[in-house]
Amino acid sequence: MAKYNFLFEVDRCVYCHACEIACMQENELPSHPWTRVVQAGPRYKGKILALDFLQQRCVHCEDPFCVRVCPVDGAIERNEDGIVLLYHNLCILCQACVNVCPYGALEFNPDKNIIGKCNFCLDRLREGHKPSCVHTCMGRALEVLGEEELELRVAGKKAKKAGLITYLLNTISRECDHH
Amino acid sequence: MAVGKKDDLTIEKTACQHCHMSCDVLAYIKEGRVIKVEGDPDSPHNKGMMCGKGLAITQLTYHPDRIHYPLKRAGDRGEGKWARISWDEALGEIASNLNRIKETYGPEAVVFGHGTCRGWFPIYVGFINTFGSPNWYEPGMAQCFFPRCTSSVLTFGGEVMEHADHDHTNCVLVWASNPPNCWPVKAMRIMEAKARGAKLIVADPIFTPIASKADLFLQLRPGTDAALALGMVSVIIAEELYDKRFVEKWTIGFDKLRKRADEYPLSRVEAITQVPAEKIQKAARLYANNGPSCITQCVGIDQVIDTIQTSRAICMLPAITGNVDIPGGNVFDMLLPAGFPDQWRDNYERREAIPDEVLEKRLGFEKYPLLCGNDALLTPGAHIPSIIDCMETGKPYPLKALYIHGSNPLVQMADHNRIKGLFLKMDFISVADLFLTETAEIADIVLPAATWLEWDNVKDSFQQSYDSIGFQRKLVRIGECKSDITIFCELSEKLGLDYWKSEKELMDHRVRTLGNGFDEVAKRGRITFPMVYRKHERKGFNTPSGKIELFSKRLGELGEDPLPSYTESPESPFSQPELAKEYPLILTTGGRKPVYRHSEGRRIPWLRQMALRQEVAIHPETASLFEIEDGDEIVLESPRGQMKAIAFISHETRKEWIQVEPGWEGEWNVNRLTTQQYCAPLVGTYPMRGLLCSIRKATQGGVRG
Repeated sequence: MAKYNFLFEVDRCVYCHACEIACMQENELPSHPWTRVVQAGPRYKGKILALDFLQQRCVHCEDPFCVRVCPVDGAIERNEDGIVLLYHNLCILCQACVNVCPYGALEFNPDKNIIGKCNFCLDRLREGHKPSCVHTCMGRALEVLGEEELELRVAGKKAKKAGLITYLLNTISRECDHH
Repeated sequence: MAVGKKDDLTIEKTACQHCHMSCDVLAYIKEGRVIKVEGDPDSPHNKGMMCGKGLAITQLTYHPDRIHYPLKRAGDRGEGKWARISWDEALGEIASNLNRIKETYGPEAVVFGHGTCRGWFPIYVGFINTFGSPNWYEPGMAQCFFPRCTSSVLTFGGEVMEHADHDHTNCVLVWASNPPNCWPVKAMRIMEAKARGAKLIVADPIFTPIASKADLFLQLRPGTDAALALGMVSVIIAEELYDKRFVEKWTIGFDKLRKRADEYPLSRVEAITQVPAEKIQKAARLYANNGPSCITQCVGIDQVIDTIQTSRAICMLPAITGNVDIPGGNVFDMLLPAGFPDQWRDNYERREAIPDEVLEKRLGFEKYPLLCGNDALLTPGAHIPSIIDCMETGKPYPLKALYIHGSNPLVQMADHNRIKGLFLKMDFISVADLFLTETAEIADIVLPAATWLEWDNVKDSFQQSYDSIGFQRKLVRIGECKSDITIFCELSEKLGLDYWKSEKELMDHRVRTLGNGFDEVAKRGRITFPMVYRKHERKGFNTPSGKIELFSKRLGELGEDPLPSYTESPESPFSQPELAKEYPLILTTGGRKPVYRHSEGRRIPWLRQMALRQEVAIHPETASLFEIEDGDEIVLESPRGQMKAIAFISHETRKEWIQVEPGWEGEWNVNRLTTQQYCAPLVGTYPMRGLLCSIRKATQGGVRG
């Protein structure tokens, strides 16, 4: 039972980039935020023109490849809440994790000389606050929920789970037929 | 995250000024420096949300390229050589030049300009009126917001179209706007409404992010908004979907409107707008039957050739369906009933300071009565194309000085090539801004202005909220930078004018009914006034007839069509088929990025990395016709000039039109293609939605001119 889960309601993302900028501010990064919004489309799904926006970030896998390939003991760890943390003071910048991550969620940040990845804003969570991306989200597409709340939210809906991120799909009506 | 102290951090409340929304903000201050901001989670307005532009305020405030002290030109104009001078010298120099020109040529020879001046519009106008020049401009007076506001006032007797009660609505019609980019709080509330089950209709030439959320998307040809609105009106009337009791009791001219709507059968509207008739019918039914419905509109409907008629046509939708000042409809704001000393209504403008004989000299006064003269229903100002013509010809009198505050006209004004040449010939130019912008570069004196972390202000812009006001607070001081209002106060003293003495005096005056001085009131944070709906039931509508004027007698008296109508763009494939052979594509300048506002933001690293270059959306079929591939550097050309862009091949646009983003400097500036030669009646708008252009790969020759 995970204490913290990200819920990303795909239909509610409005592609404002605020989560990315909030992430850079919170983590004092000049560039390379630890979460990205990726535009998919506009593309035709049959007659329907679709445009979607997806979050690309560390999903905090249950059995992360990055932890397995990391040559330094303790440089990347999965904590008791399932949050995968990378300790910059131990990291030797070999980038093995960058190459192995199936989500492309780890990135070398040349401005800071670190490997960047989402840490769930653990310091904020511990103080009872939402992660900065969730706090600022314009479309209210991002949330952090406990396991029970999460189950309630996704019950009967189309959802896809990877690690600690649940993608909630088709939650609002969109019959945007295009000619 | 409560306000107060924590370890070595102080957390203070303030409000953002990056757009008109004025979101409530918590600022984290460490050792006198703001290190972080975030939306105030306790705010009833933005509920913790903040957009990227606002979040990047620390990178703006502490930007290394900011101007920190006044500058005086030390070489030829535009050469880029500057000398640091004191405020005393800078203001003295400006005052002596402006007063000299005023005495020699009259106050009308000094032209004042500003941009959106978020939160200090009437204050600046009051300063100019006190100086005595009738010639001040703000592009928005004719190009954005004021035309659609004027239509709302003509029709409803007040501003109702700008405020949509998203929290209680069942149907949102977003017209020519992508709120996530430009109206963050509205976007948040629209998405909340959508998640609650409300329907969403979007009318836009481009398939924007908000359009991708819509139940119905009406992709109209740029500049044909009035025809689309009249098509919807014709369906609502023909199918008797209007609110008969409301129409009978609260409107005048319905039978005349019915006849006018008959002239817009769906077959004709489809031919004009390129929106299929069945979609227009569906949209009309959805809006009329799924109420309460509200409309959220923006600049796209202003920048057309007949801006008053276009926004009036859209006004007809709530007017005949009764979606006026009801929960979930379009609503009047609460500031006036609440008795708040509102800057727009409290005579901070000092209109009486300009004598009639001077006022009549205002450029555009005769020709554009709803923009420039006593007939203007909102703040009257001068007409930009008339100012530019006067600079060129010296007629009816010479223009000698430009005082520009918080504005970058060499980027944002149409017909860049022409106006740059004319600006360079002015005797004296002063600019106040945060950076050495393209406009500041040609100034004689540049004053360092302040960001919203650096000054106090009351956020009562009636675009931000219809039922609350926020407070922006001075938290830091950067270099010798001064707030806009402080500059007006200190310059007034040098000019020998009787104006406000200080920002503090003015702000204390603005909150005088709310408490004991600005500092005490502002610390309490946002003030919300209880919403009262259906205000017309007590006292009618504030129009000559006391009702909603579907038929506007006033417009008839001004020589215009008293009923909404459609006019084809003066430069389209239909109105100029010969020109369209050479320039076959329709150009619209409606492109916006969520990280930029107008010409602002491109120097901010956090923002710039989200949108690196001027990208022009081109439909795949058009791209293949012109042999252009995604990512190609291209040249766009119009009869006025050329510009550069990067091709972005996308289904977001249609084959016939391309969308360009205004706000980029240099050869990436779309205003090298636009023109001021066509002007809308009454308000003088120059159209930017629906001009003609051509495209080619840049390898076939770069930008000329």
